[in-house]
Amino acid sequence: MANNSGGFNDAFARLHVSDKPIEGRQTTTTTISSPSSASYRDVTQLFRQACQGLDVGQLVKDPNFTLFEAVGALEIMDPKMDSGLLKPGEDDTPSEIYQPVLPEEIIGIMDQLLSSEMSWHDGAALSQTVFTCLYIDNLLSLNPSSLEEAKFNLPPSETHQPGSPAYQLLHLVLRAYCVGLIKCCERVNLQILAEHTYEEEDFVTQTYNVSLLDFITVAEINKLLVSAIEYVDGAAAPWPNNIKMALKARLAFRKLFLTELSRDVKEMVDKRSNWDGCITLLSTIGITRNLGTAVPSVFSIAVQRKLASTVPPRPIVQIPFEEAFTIVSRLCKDAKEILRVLTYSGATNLMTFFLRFTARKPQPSTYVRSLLQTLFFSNHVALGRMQISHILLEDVKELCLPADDLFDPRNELSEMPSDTRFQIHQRMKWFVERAGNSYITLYRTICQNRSRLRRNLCHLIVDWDALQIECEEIDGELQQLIKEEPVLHNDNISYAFSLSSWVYHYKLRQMEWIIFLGFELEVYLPHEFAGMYWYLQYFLRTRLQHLERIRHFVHPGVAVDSPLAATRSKECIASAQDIANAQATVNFTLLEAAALQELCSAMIFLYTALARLGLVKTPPQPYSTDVMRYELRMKPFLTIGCPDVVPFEDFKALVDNPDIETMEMLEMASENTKEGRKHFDLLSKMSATSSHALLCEEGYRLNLREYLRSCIGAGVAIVMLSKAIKTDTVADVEVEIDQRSYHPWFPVPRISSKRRPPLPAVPPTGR
Amino acid sequence: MEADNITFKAFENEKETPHLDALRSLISDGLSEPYSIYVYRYFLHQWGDLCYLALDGENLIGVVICKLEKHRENGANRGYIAMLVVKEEYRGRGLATKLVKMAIDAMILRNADEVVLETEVTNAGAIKLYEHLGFLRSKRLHRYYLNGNSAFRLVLYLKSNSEAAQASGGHGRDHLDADGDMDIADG
Repeated sequence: MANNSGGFNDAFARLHVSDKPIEGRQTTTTTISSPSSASYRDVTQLFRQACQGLDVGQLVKDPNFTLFEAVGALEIMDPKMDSGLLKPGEDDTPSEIYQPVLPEEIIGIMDQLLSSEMSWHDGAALSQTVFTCLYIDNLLSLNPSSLEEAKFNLPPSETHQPGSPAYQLLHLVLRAYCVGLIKCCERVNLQILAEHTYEEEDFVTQTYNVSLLDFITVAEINKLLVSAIEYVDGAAAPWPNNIKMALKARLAFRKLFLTELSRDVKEMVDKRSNWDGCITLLSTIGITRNLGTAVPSVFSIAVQRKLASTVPPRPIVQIPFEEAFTIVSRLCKDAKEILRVLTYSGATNLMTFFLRFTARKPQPSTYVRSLLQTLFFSNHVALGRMQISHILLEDVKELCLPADDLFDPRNELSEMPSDTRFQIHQRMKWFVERAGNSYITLYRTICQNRSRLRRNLCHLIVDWDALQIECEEIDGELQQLIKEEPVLHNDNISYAFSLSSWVYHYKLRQMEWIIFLGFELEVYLPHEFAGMYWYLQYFLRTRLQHLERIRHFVHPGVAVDSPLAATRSKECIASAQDIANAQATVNFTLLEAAALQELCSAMIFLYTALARLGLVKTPPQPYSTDVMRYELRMKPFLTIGCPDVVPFEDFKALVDNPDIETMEMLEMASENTKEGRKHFDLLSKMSATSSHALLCEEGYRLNLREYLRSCIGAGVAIVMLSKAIKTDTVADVEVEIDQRSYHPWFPVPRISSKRRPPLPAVPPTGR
Repeated sequence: MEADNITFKAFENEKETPHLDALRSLISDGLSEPYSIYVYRYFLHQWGDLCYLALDGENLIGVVICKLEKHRENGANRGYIAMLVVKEEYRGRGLATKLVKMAIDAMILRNADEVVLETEVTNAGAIKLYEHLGFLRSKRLHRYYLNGNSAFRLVLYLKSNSEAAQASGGHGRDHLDADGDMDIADG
């Protein structure tokens, strides 16, 4: 611990003395040239003296100096940390930038820049990507505040006489491209900063105090790009047509890309987006890719020395062109695809789109996921033109269809606190605000990266659990106000509890997602699979029962003598179609949950059988206990009121099923896969409308096929395993868990024989 | 490289820190993240007794650096394995396991409720080592390291929730803090 001796304290205290020179001591005041007029004082002597008071091994530590500060600290002169360090023989004077003469070189630089830009989109910092380009650096280093100022500052060159094609290539064509690209980066940064994403983790927005042409308008830049295109197109540009085409496509893409990145939601609602234009130009860029000549010398890590940064030097990241091309093409396609949400077609459809779109592998880029959040909700407007309350209440109605009286627009008009309508409205208003927040958060959370999604869901379910309890109370009050008629359900007289039922259903789904994502993210070890599938099966079974209950109460009745009956608005009364729709939604959701439950049940038996046969092994685990490991696994669910976590002993017995023979267990697993397959087949035959997959039919069907593949894969594994038991060849069996070829939520054991096929008669040639 | 020459010792009272330079270069070679001298000082100064060294004669060939403190106010007494490195030519001989066990045993003596750490998802060796001691992966951390790699958080409970709550005089592990991330950029 810090053990400050007196001598040290004295000297240390003097270090804190501000400007006053210390008596009897010569202190030199040096003003180091710096942007501000700060004056610096050399404290070397004082510091050395202070150190004299310390023993070897003694440490002075400020209690506020935490691990965070320690990790963030940089050590000057350490090559891993000091970005300004010059290695022996290195020179700090900027070398002259190579000035290309050939259009092929310009094409090459443009494509290298695209690689840099997409490396940034993919998670690297600007200091590792776009900013390492000496032309970008040259353009930005004078901090241009107008388009006129945004130009290269290069020494005169024999080969670049003003007006010559070489000069125009550099000072018009490449300049326009660079200016356009920097502005694109600014737009992307603005978008990402506007929504919830994780800095450094998803994306690095850090610009090191370099302005990304913030003061120059998109219109001005587009004009510059147009004049560059016109120059390339004109007679003064003496290049073959294919070269001209390549240059024009790159400039035109930059212009269109910048325009798309600059659109506001209103323009998107008005269908003014033109991502297809970008996609078309990209294909020309791809075709003319080979015309370019790379100029690696115009990229340099040395740029990092100048950037005001508190992070250690980081290597240049410039992914290969093909990869960058894939990323930018996908970005344009995805950005176009998310516009589908603006064609609102019901809340359930919207949720299906969010779930399917964000689950795609590889996951859509941070930019697109951020834009999706903006489209969903920004400036208090949902989907560019709706109230979030509308979507929320539709979501409730699509599943539960509560009593008409809750939605009567006349409720809002009542101003008498004693009036029933007023009281109903107060409660519904509370619900819209309280549940609305949770609902928006859920959508935003689904847009996060998969690791964060799982972690954030662990927090969200606590909120939804509380929301459920609060809504139960409100439901109770509402049922009195509307004089709801009780219904006999499972031998009990009961009420609909529509709002809390809807909340409970979403809560259960989120609990399932937490475990499913555990499989997707490879958080669970194979020996835990059976137990985790047991929990999924348990949550799904609970949800199935709950859905049965919801089905029973879709559109609850009100008493004939309800005081509201006389003044009820016609428009709030559910039509026969509304009732049929809600029932269809419940039935579809039941089928989907039943399919998943069958597959989970099959997996419990299959992985339990594998463990019994010693084919899936638990590691030694000398520390901790199974009970504690169970607690750790159940941590996200421990505070959830319903369904509750099962005591460990019961859990173990339920998963291990010691009373069931292994062969019998495999037969049961086989039955489950068959049932599951039947359900998934039924789901595949349903229309996109009935499946609520109107906005993402392709992704939805792909997901179903993956479930089916896991179902079939599990079926094959069960057959192989049964055969091995019957033929007494379990000892020859090898098991490998396949996480990749199946649904990411249902990894399948690949079962094969250890016995290698006999060696071929003729050994393979070679060596 | 005779196994007989290999000894283990706690960093503990190394006032002169003769191994500090060797320790830094060993870790610098073995781990991807750059650590400033402050990081080493931070750990060794406060939890030198939870740092163990493996030596071949006088040569430092392996090290584990840890800390142990309350995770948030009234939270669990949480041990943290910050760094573990064994020189490449000495790997595969169980030295790392031995070092980690020494650290965990010391944490148990000091009443730790749990031990946590992060490791790169691609580091199969390290993951296996910890899982063979009883750790579980609790979550995945997207692009956790400066090099862009993701991490697994690995957790080992040394006490059950009720024991941890009793011992801390508070509520022990914060259930709402299903997330409770370390305030460190790397492990």
